[in-house]
Amino acid sequence: MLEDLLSAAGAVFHWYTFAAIALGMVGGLVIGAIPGLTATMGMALLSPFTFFMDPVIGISFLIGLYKGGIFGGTISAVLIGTPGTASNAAVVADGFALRNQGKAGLALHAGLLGALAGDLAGSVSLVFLAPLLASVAIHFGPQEFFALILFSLTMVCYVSGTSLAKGLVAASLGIFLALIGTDPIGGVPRLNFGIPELSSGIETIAIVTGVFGITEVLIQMEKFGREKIPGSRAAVALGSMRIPISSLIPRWWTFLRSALIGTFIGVLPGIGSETSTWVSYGIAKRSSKHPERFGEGELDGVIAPEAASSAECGAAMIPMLVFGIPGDIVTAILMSAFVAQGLQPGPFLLTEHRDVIYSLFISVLISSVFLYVIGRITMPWWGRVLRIPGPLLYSLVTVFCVVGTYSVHSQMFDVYMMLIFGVVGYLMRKLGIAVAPMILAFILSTILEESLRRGLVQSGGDILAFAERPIAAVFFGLTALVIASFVWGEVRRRKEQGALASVEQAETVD
Amino acid sequence: MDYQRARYLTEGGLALLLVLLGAVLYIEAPSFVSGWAFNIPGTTDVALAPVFFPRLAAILIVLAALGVLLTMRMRTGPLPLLETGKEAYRKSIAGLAGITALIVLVPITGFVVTSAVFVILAAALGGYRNWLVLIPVAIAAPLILWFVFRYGLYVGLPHGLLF
Repeated sequence: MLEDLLSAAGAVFHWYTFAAIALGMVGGLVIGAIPGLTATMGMALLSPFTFFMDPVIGISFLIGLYKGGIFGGTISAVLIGTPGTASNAAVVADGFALRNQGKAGLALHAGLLGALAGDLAGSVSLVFLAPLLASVAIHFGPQEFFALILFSLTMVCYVSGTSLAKGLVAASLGIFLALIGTDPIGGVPRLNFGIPELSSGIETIAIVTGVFGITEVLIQMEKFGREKIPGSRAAVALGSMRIPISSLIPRWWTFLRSALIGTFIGVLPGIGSETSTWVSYGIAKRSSKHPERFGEGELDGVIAPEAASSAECGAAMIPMLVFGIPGDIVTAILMSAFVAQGLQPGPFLLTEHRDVIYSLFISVLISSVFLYVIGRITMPWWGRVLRIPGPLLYSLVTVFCVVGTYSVHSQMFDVYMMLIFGVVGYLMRKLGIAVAPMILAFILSTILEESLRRGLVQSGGDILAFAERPIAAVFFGLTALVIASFVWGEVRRRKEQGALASVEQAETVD
Repeated sequence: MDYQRARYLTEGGLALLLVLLGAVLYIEAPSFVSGWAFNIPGTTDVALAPVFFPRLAAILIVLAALGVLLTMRMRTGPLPLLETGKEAYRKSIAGLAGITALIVLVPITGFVVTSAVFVILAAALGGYRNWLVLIPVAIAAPLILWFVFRYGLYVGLPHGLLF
């Protein structure tokens, strides 16, 4: 493996790969820093640009964008108290408190160091765990894949939004949308309603750009003229960015523990960095000698969530590369970029495209260092990024959405689909239905269908035979556990509400 | 109408609509498949039939919709649909009309000109009227994109009557 890494390093160490990572990272930092624009949206908008590049350069650019976008959210969390992405929400309390004390530079630097530690942990785990897991995944049959995808989708439905039932609605719609096109086993046209452009199915980029790009533009347009976006405020003074080594050394355990939490949660499909950041923040607070300082400007309160969210970047790529199962939307977009480059993620990717994948591993490691270096150099200008006026920004984002979607197949049909899904995404957000399960189900549906149908053919139509395979049985058990935990939670919540209502009624009578 | 009642009506209506969609999809699935919908000639495996999975998806849609219907009373948090004011909806509908116009006009008047006009109009109507910044940015951004795609990525963006 070391030999592979060394030979891959030779292919990666060129100025254009470095430039791709740096460009992606700067773009990611800018996109992540602007409230309303997220790493997911940035990936959706810019991934079509990479389809025409060399795989190593194109995917290195996306990795830079991904990592930059995740950390970028911290900039607005610290400077204006509004997280750029949901995963940066845990940073707001202490980061914004430090900013109000005139220590914004200190908070950002601490966050950057946390991100460096987390990112390195996630990247190293990707490099070493992915080949190990791939050797196991090679033995997976359709039954195991079906059980694993079912578990992933259930997890995504469970953690996305507030309702499992609504998550299931989104997932079932995603599955339905993926059926449009051609039957993956028989090859016959299916559900294309006589529209020739639908014979190869709906383009993933059209859906993703629609539900993340156009939907966000429509949501932001609601605010036009009514309120000043936070970015229009004056630039914030950062203050000193220096952190003495003496204050970092006692925090080594916070760095390491948070990075490990992020890595572990990142490998699990569907949970997402929103969870790991809060878990990491909670544990850091509980194990601190001064928990009362959390929320008042405690550095650990910035370091812990940052390390956890950045650790996820590398770790979340493991299930995507090894099983072809993305754990979240960003890795799902990354997976479509792999597919567009002719690299089909799955157990055989590491053996069939060894040179490309090891080059990407090197890129992932390099980008960890780039994150710190670029983040540190550009720090003084971050305050200005937040001043881009919303109406100008979102009209430009619309143009980007059109260009990105059109460029995939050079056809306007994809752009029309993007617009339709922009409206669908808008309605889903208004109805409180999370879009993540729909996108993941759309992407995973083909493998889900193939594995179910092939498994059923192998077992002579007996679905129970799936559970006779030990690994599949474990995933079925975990799926049942997730559903049971949801039902139990709902029943308990209902009981508590009932008890509260009866107490209130009794008080009113008294 | 009180908030909770409006919420039940919205979510109940959505669930019923989805049940209807699932039912239609289940019944009509064979007509949406070209060729042998139920069995590939020479096989008896139901799982091999192209209509198998669409019907399964239809069942899933119905079950999920019923789940929404059954758990409706358990949800107590705010529903964004009912939280958004008329003025906000008016703005997003106007925005949607603008985006639709952009997409429809791009093949007719060309990407560069249509996008530049769209950016100027959308930003100005949105409240940003710093013309010294807006006009150069609105013209430069589509031009740069056009050149990057044409000469960097070898993708031609739509030409129209103008450019």
